[in-house]
Amino acid sequence: MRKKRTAYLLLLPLMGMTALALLACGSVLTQSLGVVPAFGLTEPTLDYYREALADPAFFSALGVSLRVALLSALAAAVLGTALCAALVRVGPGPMGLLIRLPILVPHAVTALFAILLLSQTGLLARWAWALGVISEPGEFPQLLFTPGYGGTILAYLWKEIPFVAYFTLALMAGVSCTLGEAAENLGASPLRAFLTVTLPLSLPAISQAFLIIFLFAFGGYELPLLLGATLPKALPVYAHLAYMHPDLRQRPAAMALYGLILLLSAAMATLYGLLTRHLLRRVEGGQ
Amino acid sequence: MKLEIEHLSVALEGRDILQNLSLQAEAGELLALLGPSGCGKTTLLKTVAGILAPQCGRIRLGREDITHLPPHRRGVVILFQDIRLFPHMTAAENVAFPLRMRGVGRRARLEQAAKLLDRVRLPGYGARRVGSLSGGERQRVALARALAAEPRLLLLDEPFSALDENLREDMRELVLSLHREFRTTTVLVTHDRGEALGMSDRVALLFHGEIEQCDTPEAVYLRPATRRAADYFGGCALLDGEVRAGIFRGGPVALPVSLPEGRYALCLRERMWRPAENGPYALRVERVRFRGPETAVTLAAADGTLFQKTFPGSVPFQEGDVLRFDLDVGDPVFFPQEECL
Amino acid sequence: MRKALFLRLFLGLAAFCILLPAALLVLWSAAARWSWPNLLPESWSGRTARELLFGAQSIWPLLGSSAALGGLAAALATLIGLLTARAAALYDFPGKPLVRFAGLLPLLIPGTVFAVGIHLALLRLGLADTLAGVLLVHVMTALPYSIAILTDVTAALGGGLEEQAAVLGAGPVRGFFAVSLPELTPGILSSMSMAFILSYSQYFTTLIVGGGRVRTLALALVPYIQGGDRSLASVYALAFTGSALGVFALFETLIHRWQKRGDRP
Repeated sequence: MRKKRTAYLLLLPLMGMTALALLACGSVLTQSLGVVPAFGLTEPTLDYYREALADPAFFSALGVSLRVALLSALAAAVLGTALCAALVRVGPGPMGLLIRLPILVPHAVTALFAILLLSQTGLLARWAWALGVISEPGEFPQLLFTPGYGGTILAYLWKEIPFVAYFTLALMAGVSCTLGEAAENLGASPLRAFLTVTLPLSLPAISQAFLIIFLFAFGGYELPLLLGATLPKALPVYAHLAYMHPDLRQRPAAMALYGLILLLSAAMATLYGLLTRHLLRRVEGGQ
Repeated sequence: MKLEIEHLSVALEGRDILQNLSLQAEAGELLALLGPSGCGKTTLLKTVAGILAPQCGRIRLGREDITHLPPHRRGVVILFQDIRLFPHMTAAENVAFPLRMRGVGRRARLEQAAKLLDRVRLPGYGARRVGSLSGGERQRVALARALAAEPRLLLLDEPFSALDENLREDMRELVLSLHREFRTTTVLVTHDRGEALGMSDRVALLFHGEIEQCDTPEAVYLRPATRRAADYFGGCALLDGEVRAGIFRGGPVALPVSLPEGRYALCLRERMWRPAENGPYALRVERVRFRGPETAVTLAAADGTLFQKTFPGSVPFQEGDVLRFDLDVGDPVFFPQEECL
Repeated sequence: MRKALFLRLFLGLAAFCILLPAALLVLWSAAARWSWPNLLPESWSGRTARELLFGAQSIWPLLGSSAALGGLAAALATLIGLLTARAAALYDFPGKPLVRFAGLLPLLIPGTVFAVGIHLALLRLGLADTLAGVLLVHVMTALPYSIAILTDVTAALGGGLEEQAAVLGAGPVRGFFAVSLPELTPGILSSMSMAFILSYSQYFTTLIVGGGRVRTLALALVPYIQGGDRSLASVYALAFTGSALGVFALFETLIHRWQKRGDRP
């Protein structure tokens, strides 16, 4: 029998890291409650949260982050699933390697891609000019640095669609070459076999990929910083601005914003887990 | 419906699996496709079902050429070895799946599914989740699901190999009784010789992507067409020898035959050796292995040729004794020697 | 296979969308002049390449610090990942489900909150604004991936080979190195590759935890993107992405070689 003590010894480094991560969350939450002994603040209070929630700028920042995260994650889940299905049907080939490229490219570089491609003097605008659709840069729809955050969403899509496909590929390929094949054998057309058997059974992976990219985009900093509007800002950019305030006594206010990001992420992840649990149990129950 | 396969060749990843294979299954027949693993049985099934595309050749079902039909329009259903029930559906929904694909309404198809579940002796199992079924139950649900598709041709891919031995016999009986009832043309793929001989109307022997022999179970067993076929069924020893002037001589055996001169192998079955007080063959007992219901005995002729023979129960002789035998070959089976080269 | 035509077109379009920005990056980094509305640069120049290689903020020290940091983070994350994977895959103990949660924790905390929080925690430990602190946070970021990859391969291998080695007289450490390690090598390499890329691309965590004292390529890149010089931004992005992909390709080659070595009879 392998000894329990050995297992705990092996886990010591992980426990250290976990303690540090919990300490990190704890520190943010403590300071957000106004407890910063170094500044002589020791009385816990919810005032900083009240202040944050009373500021309309917070809600517009929250709106931006929710919008960007939801739209990009939804579109990426749908298109990524389609990409994955095409890869399964046709066979991965070189494209199976190529979809890993956007996953490896860092967000800052993705932002640069968006600038080179989508700005009003970017390549797409030039193509539109060459095709005679527009006659000057100003006529090309403004996607970058606008309150609509279209460029940010498109940049996220460039990274996330391949991510969803890559994340789902192994499961979907496995389902397709056994149960999908059986469905076609029993009289289902390829499309119906996909919709009735392969897709529902691939949902656990797709749903997990959705949650990962949604939370990432909700808490992401680089893309909205580099591609977003001055106002309204995305929530993490808004929080960072408060964090950089020269007056250190403003720290608890910034921490309240980080606390809100943390709590909202946790709440949304929990809610999502509850919503999808029934669906996924039905799919996973038989396996 | 009659299945006709003509000159079929299939290659997978650049490797030839089936070469110029022709085979027929008569309407309503149960044809066993027997062969060692890796001989191309599953590839043949998948090609007939349209999951794999052949390099050349034709597949006809009844009068229709189905070579280029997509799988879902062939009416050819495989009962896969790994069962493949859809885990997100109940047993009844699984059985109703082919009906749903044909546009049968929900009520009607679930009723039909319940009837079919009765047929495979799973009454009241409709609402059960697939995960809660035992291996034998899953296999029967899969069988009901295949029948629900009303296949023109049913392909069974080693359907009993995943089951325990005691369940296997039950399933075989169930498949046979359903076959008698529905008379669906059926191809049963197996590597179990007894199963192939015991269940089918005819047996097709498949070695290395080619059909070696296709005949009734008795003929395939008793009159193997080739030395390889004889070797595969076992139960016989091949005695190499030569025919000269109408006499076959090989080891201790000499037989009058009507064959052209040349080298041959004689297929000798152990029951051909009959113990006889004054028989012409004196064989020395080399080895005695008691096995409970029977005793396996190795016998050696004067020239060193060895023969196997089993005796019921225990035997009254020991290693070293010399026994006398008659040889009754009946209608002997010879294979020309060139063939095995 | 004519029916797959639509799907092939779709895949082709996807490949085009992935490769287009990369091609654009190469063009921009070598362009001297590329004014509206030309589809290709009017003239080319080596200005940006010279700036990148020999300029005021040349790439070499940045490349060195980023690669060293990435290499160390990859080694540490993989080591911790291996230890955790062994515990999770081969041992049974009370509280095991918590290991899965602990492994995923850095992924569940939003990146920005994580960085700020770790900075506060490291302030207490005296590690804030140091290279060690940045290394620590990079290791934590990479750890969930390393644990996932290595737990998979460790569980797949199981403890059987080491038990056999033990029966044949190898001590536990010897057994691991002689029997399991060679089998785990592809998993170890992909864990290192993943961890390196993650560390190499960290921006916000390095910014906050390093407090401006730790300089990496990812950190240096962002001001160029925010600035107006597209050619200069492109050349730095190209160097950054190219070096990351180079390391990734190197690891992939190593994994491939190792697996082929095993296939030979």
